[in-house]
Amino acid sequence: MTAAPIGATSAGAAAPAIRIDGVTFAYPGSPPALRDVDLEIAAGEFVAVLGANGAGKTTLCLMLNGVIPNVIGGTLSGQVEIEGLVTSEHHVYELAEHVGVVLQDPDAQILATTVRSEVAFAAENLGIPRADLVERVDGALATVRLAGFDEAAPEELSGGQKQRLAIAAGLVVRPAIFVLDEPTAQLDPVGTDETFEVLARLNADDGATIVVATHASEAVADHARRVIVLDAGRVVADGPPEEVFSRIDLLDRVGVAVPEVVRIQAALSPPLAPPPALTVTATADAIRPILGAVPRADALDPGSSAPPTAPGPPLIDVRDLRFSYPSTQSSALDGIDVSIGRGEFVALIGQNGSGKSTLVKCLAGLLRPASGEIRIDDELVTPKTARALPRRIGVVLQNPDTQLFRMSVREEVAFGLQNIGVPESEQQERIQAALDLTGLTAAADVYPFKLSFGDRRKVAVASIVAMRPLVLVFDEPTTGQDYAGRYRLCEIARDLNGLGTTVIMITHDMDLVARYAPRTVVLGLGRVILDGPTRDAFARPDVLRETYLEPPQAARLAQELAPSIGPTSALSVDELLAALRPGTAVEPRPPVAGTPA
Amino acid sequence: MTVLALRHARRQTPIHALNPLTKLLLVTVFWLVSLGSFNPVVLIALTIVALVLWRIANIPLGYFVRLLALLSIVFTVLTIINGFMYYNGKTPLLPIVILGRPFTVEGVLFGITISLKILAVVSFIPVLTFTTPMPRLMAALAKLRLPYKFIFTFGVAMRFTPLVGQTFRDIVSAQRLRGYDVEAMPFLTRVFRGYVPVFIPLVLTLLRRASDLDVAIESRGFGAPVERTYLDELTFGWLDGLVVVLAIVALVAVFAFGGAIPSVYDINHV
Repeated sequence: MTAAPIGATSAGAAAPAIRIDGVTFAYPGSPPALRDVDLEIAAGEFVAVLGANGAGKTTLCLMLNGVIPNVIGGTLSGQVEIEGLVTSEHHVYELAEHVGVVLQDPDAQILATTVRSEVAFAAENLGIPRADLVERVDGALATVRLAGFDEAAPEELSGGQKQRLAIAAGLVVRPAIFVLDEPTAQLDPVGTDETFEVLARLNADDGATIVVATHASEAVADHARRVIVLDAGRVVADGPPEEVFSRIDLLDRVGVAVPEVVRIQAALSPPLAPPPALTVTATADAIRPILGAVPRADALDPGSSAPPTAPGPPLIDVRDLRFSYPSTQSSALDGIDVSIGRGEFVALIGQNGSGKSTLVKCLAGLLRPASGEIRIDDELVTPKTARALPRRIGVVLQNPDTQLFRMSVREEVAFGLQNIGVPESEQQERIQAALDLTGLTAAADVYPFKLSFGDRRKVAVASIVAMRPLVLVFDEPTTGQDYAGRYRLCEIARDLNGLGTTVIMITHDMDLVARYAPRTVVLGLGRVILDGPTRDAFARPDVLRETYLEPPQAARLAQELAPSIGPTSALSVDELLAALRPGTAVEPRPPVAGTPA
Repeated sequence: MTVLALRHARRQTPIHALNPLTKLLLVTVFWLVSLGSFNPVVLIALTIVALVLWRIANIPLGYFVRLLALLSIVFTVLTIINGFMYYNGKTPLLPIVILGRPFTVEGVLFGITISLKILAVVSFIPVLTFTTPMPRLMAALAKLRLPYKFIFTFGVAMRFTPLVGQTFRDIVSAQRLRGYDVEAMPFLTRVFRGYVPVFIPLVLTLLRRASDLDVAIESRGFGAPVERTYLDELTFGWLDGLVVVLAIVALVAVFAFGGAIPSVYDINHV
């Protein structure tokens, strides 16, 4: 046997890169995941596919390289053509020369133990001669800016680097089409930017066709030239981003995020002429001319920026905390001092590796600090007292699947109570209260693994909340959630905070910080680099940028418009609109669509 | 930590520079000798040879201490069991009888010999794994005409072993946050039911990961009916030749003259 010819396509010049013709597809025993989809994507397009979880985005992606129906079966009608090849009539390895696919979880798709061999994998499988291989691997690594990492092990890379590695691994066969299924769902803002920049470059420089399914509407607005919106398996919108993002009512109904700047432009009266600007700077340029000439004073009461502090001793008091992991030389925590009062709601932010998770692990007694001390409720945390910590501090982790193992939601919630020795008589009442709070009462007897990811996270929350800790820590409450789902855990956190529970929220999502947390602690390289009212933190974009974070669009727009409207500490769309329209009542933001069954 | 000795580390040593096939041959030869010999002197000598190679390959000797600590439990159990069960046991060592069998000197010596054999075999593994990047090892196995599906499975296992370990630790921590501390349990409770809340999430997570892996592999041309190529090119240098000759000479020597090497005891004639 000889090597297969690479790069030869049987397509005619006029054929579109992707043609989807009347496709309806259902997984075995399920209702259709895609219904009557007709799409044509020309070579060189940059297309974003948006939609709530369960709208059919992943199914669409896996159809484009023939994994559906060739590897994952189901009922298919209609057909998909990739550069003229009908996917159901060709093996996945034949289609692999035309389509590169990048999946959501970088760890699940990296197969090799070094960066270099990971990139080579697909090309080796297709029998590309060695001399050519070396050149292609080097080229792919250079394109994603990973040159020099050749011999690194995948576990030494950051999340963004891993996702870029996955892209390089697809690039090596030089496919004309790239399909990415939520490539940035697990990345911080830096990783998200890195990924979209690589895609934009591939599209612009190499003319690659890009199809990316995502929830990152703001990144889409920056880069994509066509947006397709799916809802319950159907295409409900398809057009340039300016046009699709203008359909705010539709997007709210199907649970797709609308960039804040678009929302602000739509809410102005009189409204700006379409199409809306999609970036903060362009929006500021569009708004400026219609603003009154008289600079306004801050529309917000400056007093409201002070965080509510409870009297009495702090609930959590951390003094000069230090910690280093044995595998690395640098310290993960380098002298942290922070105290948190009873009943506070605090956001803990900072890029990956800034020490957020390490700090929380120390608080929860999972790690033993090298030096320094932690007091919770006036009791010193020591290896001895750490065992009793779950009664005082509850941590809701990102991945609920590391906890769930029982046959029903109710039993799962009972687990913690049994462990910490809550009397049987009290357990039922606590379980019911936790189920009510998380909206899981109807699902109490369901097997947790049958629930959606969002609902499984709620089960994890209920199982922690039932233990009634004094402090509740939420680690990245939006991971794996769509636009509609991202606020649900935060609303639960807010309810509990209202009942007196102290809440600490770890997040990269600056919109959540602006909405929920009156106080923000910014960590960078194991130190506290900013600690104060959220409004003050967001007024310091320089400090945030140092840790690769950016205030939400509304806050950035407020900063840009400050010369015209006067200094404002507006953080959200509504606050900025209030500042723009003195004396006008602001319509409350429409509720987020779609609540789970 | 012990697992680190099994994972490749980038170093500049003569052993790192050897062709992986040479190292495979070297390790195979030493394994054959270790498995063939019941002479404790030979087995200890082999372990010393392995440690010399560790030294040359710059493998921290601390790993050996950890390895010994880990294996010492196995060795103790083996020696005790053989003490009672060795078929040729004649001379009672302790006045204890279990299932009608006395605890004998011959049994203990046999148990020690088996332990030394295991130690020698295990000591040679890092000489290969610590010094050879997985892709080169896989390319070497392909040169031996092993089916690629087998080689790939081996490679993926090496990639996912640390991930499984990480997932396991994450789950132990996650359950601790719900007041369930496996590590604080009495040994027997832990072994018989303590790990249930850890293993169920672990198995479910791994199953999910396996199905993701399936999609990832297929999407990248796995199974294409063409002759697979390899990025890593294996070269054969003079050092390789020298090592191969030495290894073969050692193998022949031990089997030809092994009987002449004095032993503290002769297992067949005690």
